[in-house]
Amino acid sequence: MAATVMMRGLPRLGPALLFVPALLICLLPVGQLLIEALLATLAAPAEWRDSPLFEVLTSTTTWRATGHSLYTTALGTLISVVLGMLFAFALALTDLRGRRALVICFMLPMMIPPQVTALAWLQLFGPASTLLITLGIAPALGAPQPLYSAEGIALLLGIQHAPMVFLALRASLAELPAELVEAARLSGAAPRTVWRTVILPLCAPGLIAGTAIAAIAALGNFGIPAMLGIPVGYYTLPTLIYQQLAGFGTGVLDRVASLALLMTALVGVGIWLQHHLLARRDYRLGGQGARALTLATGHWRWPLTLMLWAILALILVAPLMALISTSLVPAFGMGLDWQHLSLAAYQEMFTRQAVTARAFTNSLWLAGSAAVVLVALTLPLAWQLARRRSRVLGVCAALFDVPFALPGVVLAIACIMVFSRPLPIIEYSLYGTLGIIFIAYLSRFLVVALKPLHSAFVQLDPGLEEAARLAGAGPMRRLWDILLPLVAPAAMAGGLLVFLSAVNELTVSALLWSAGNETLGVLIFNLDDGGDSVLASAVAVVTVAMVVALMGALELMARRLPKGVLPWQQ
Amino acid sequence: MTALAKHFGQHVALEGLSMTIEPGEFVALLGPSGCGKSTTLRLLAGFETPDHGEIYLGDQRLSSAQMQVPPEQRRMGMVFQSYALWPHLSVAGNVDYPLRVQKVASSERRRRVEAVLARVDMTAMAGRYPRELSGGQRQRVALARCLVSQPAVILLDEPLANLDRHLRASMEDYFRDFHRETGTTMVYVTHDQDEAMALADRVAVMQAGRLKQFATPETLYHQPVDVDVARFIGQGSIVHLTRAAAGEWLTGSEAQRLSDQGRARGFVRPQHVVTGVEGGLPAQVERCIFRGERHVLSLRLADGQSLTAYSAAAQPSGSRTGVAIERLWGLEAGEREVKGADARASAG
Repeated sequence: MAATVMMRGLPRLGPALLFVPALLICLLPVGQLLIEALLATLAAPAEWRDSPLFEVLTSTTTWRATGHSLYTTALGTLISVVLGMLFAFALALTDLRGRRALVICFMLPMMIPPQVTALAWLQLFGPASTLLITLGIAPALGAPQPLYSAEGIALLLGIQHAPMVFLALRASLAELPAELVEAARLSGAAPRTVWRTVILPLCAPGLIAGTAIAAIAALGNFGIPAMLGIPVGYYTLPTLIYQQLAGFGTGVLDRVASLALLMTALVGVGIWLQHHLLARRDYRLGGQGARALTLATGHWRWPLTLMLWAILALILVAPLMALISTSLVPAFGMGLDWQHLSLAAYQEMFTRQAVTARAFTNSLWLAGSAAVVLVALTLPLAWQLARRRSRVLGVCAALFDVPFALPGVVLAIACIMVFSRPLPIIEYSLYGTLGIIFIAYLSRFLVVALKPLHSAFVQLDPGLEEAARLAGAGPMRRLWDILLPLVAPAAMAGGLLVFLSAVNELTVSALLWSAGNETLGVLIFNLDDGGDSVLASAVAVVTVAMVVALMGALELMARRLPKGVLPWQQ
Repeated sequence: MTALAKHFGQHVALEGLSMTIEPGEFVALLGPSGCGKSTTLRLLAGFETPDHGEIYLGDQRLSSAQMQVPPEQRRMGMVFQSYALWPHLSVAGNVDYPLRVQKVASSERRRRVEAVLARVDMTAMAGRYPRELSGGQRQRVALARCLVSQPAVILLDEPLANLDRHLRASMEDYFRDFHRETGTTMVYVTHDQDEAMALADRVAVMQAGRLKQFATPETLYHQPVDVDVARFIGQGSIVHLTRAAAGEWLTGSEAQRLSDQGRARGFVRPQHVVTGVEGGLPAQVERCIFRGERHVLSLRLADGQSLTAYSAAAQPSGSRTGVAIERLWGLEAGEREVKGADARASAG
């Protein structure tokens, strides 16, 4: 009897124990950061004036960088909102042709890593721009690079994060039933009144959410202000942390931890503001299954389509062309012509330079193993999360979001704090190895792997698993025979998304890399910093090609994925 | 099962449910949605754990507050409302799976899968995938899948809810024949009283987590235990009486003592109401609806109570008639009715 009967407590807990390592990976670094920074201040309240937190909070450098961060974030978010709204309304509400292609092209800037975006735009302007020289419209030598400015940073932040506003707003608009607009028209409202009184208020939640996401992303962005601000001494909070850590080493860990805490507080304010604004705006009606609203554009169709493509040509095609043309010249500052077309940079990248080959190996290896480990770890997690409606697990799920939502620099500082000391028992320090970057990636991207799997399990009929139980299959057997084949596409997509995010990652690795452990993101940043724009561009072109290929692979399996897995799809 | 109880937080899903199902019996659990019938089925299968009470299968204890036999060891089969066929396995693969898990030898497996597919007339479809099947075919594959491991009990969770009306009728016949031929114990959840009455040996009527009545369809129809069951089974009128007569038939002059002042209730089937009786209870025809083989009359008595009756000939609304009641079944007060007051309840 005892063998056939499970005691009541155990089956409830068993698989849920898997949450412990996941929570540890996600929360240990960030938790450690908060506790240490606070303890350092609270431990000696009498000397609070000597605490690093007080020192940081009274330093003018801190507040100048905070001011810069807020200015570029605000201006950048404004640009994101304008672009995102334009595309969301035009692509979600109208009958334009080729909307799918427009959506994918508009989403691309979000998928291209920020340091590549910055590098591409730098190649588009300034006196040394290959593209401008080729076209004969380059400014005179010695003219300033206009992008090396607060506004240049804001512009690129705006373009990078516009897809986030677009996605959130489009989700709102997709739920807007045509009947609501028809009812308003029948009530006597003119089209303009309908916009003001029905459409705009109903998509306000999406707009607020999108704006908040874009603003938080802009605040934490490192690649763009690093490439555009550091050369002219314009520091935002993430680049200030980077500069202090790079300049003074781990000796200033207390100070940068305080800066990280300040950033966390700013993000917290942003999230609070968003919740406050959304609190009384839950308009979801649910389960209507109504026709989606589609506005006929009539004779405005072609002008509108042309305008959208023109914007995309400006924000996507032009910088990429500039990037490609720079990667093809023999020396920086030359124009492009057919006689001097050169693949030297690509040759050098793959053959001569040890550092490029190493960075490729490191990044591919890190991203690949992070993807495999995270899919294996999140598969049972997502399963349990979808099956048990437990409050505790719900809280865990929310906690997994933390390392992804926090700015990358904060996570990086947190990892340094935990791993700069040798690990207990084995007396081995991860700091200065690829291991610390790997753990940071696991922490940051866990939720990226979890989300697609979770929605796949939620959309799966629980009866499928219960039927297997009645057939006599135990938990592992059910997971392997029944569930895994059914969620395999989602697991694959989760893995590819992790790979896509990790292979181009810069923010975390910029603070955690060491000689011999460069990643691709760090490589581009360092090459550009050292003045080798041609080689940097060549590496960046390969990176973009990789992004496009991965997006293509995901697009091919789109039909077999649960809804909402691919960020660029409805 | 005895004194089963299940709570979901504050919500009481099931309270003090006890019933004994005989081997080979076809039992329907009937009740409105949210009455606890699906919870009962899931307790039997072992997907939920009871807060109180025990479940036995023969002599084997399956569930109690302290211990649980997991579903995979209960020897139960279940046909899900959604059928829950595994979309990545063929028809034969779906049916074979329980045997594969139970490590049955492969020649034996092949033989049993073939036999059971033949039993549900699906041999020709063995290589197809669930998405290529119609609703009725999926239903039969689901049945085959739970038959193949020869379960002690087959649980059916609203198996006809997703089928259209025509297919429903033929699947109903199919289940009835199937039960007669195999003699398997079946527990069948439904909210459709016609389906329950047509199929089951005994019907358990449930309401708000309690078992109201557990009886044969005939008993349920003629002798509902209280107002709630009478109202749910329908096709009759609930009337107020001058004297309590719970659980007995009233005939002759006893059956004519209706009064809206009375606290006791009785249940009258329309076929037991005779109209056009000289010196009967005075009544007015409120509506007369043509139903093909007869007319259905809605009558209003002098004290305001209403009655339903059948009549061969049409009677204009507003006309007066005398009514006699041949027989009347006395009801216990339903729970909701303890407060009394609200008169003129009529069902059907």
